Amino acid sequence: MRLDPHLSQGLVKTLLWTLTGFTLLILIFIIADIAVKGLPQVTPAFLSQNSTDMGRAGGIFPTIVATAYITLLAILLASPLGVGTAIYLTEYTREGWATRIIRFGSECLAGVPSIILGLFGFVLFVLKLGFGWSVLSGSLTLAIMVLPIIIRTSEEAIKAVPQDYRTACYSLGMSQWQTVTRIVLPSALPGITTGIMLSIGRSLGETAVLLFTAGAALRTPVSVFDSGRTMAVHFYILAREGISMPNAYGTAAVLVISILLINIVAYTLMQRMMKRYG
Amino acid sequence: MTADPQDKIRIEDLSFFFGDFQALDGITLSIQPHEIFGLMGPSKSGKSTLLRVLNRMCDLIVGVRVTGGVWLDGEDILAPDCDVVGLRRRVGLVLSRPTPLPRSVYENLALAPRLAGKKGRGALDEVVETSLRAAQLWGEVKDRLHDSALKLSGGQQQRLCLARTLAMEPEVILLDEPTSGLDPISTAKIEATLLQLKNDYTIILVSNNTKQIARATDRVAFLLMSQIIEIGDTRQVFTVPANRKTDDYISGRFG
Repeated sequence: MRLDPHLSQGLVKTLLWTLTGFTLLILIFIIADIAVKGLPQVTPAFLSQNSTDMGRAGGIFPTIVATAYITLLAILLASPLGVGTAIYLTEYTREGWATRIIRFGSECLAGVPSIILGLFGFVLFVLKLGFGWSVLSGSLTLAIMVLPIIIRTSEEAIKAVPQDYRTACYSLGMSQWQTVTRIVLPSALPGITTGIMLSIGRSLGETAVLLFTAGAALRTPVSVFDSGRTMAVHFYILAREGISMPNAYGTAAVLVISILLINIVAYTLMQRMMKRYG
Repeated sequence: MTADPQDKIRIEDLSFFFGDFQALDGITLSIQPHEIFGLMGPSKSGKSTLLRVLNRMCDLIVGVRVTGGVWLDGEDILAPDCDVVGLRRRVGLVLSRPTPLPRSVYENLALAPRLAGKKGRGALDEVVETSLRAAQLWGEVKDRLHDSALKLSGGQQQRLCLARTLAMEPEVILLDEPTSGLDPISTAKIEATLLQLKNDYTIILVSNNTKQIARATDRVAFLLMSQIIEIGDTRQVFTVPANRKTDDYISGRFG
């Protein structure tokens, strides 16, 4: 049977539109749900006060600090390592069995379920190295979790830098290191930043890893050896133990808004950077 | 084998292999200081490869093999302990396609000299202006030094690349078909620049354009199938070529 081209075109278009619309609808539904139930909770006091009665009352200040602390430390640990690995793989070595093993390892790491990574972090950092349930243990495990993302995106970004730039630099008597740091990395920075942003997003929303490694203390962490409860973990505990659904939604709203804000800021910075180097 | 102290560059029995393909076969050649030396020949004859050996840009390609010797001022540049970065500062290369870096015009010129140790705003400003003037680009870009170099036209970009090479104050300039993508006016500007630069530099010009070779060079070598067919005074080669193949090539019967 042959369909009329106009009819089939129309059918496919409608179908694809419906699918796209459906995806969007899910997103809108989630955000609306969180906004409606959560935003009324979000007051200055909610953001700045300590939690009392296990989170049933008071604010979420300690969890905001813990989230920022753990995420920042994780990214600070993972970025140099990940970007460095990507530089090595793309600029300092030729394709061979060694690079293939490194890449395969990194892909495997990306496929490890976060609960298993959490268990690994618990055994290694919390118990074996004696860091206890702490910001440090949590950050280290999160860093391992996001490392493959950073490596992969940085590698793609560095590979996308035109070969001509490198040729031009070398023919001007620039060393490989100068070429990489002065020309290749700045050109790849938007792509690398995207990878780091993705990693921040993953870290902000992670719970399984942190339940095992950072604990769930509802105090504001000061030292890296203090236990800390991030917003995502707080949300999980409030909802799971039925402590306070309104406060859980309030926490979720703050979390979602921070992720949005970070993305907007990063996007703006990136645009500005591209203008400078374009 | 020791090099003649007169020679700027001495190439002795140089062969070059990409895997199984032999791109250069027993090249022997010497380049005098302050001459414009032309390399002509059909594509794939080995001209560009020869150029890339002279500042070791050939190192960037995987799986190549070089035999024979090349000396710059009597110094063996194929030696394993040769300082390649230092060599490339002395022997600059301008590619056939313009390759501006994604920076301002000023930065394109100042970046490499600064990294090579040239300090101070004044000194760098001077290098930028001198090299832009030498490449006959100063008048066109002096008001947009801090605009992106990618906004320049193709001909301007190519002269920028020439200026960028000059900014390093090299001793030898290698030009790999520098005008292949340019219009006649830009081409004439670059050729005029080369004739002026001769006093300060030794220049090796690779070109597919025999008329350009005839106009711009002092001596010329004709390459065919990885070998040198003829070397001589440009005027002599173009009026009474010693080899029939050379005659066929320059009179346009092949290539």
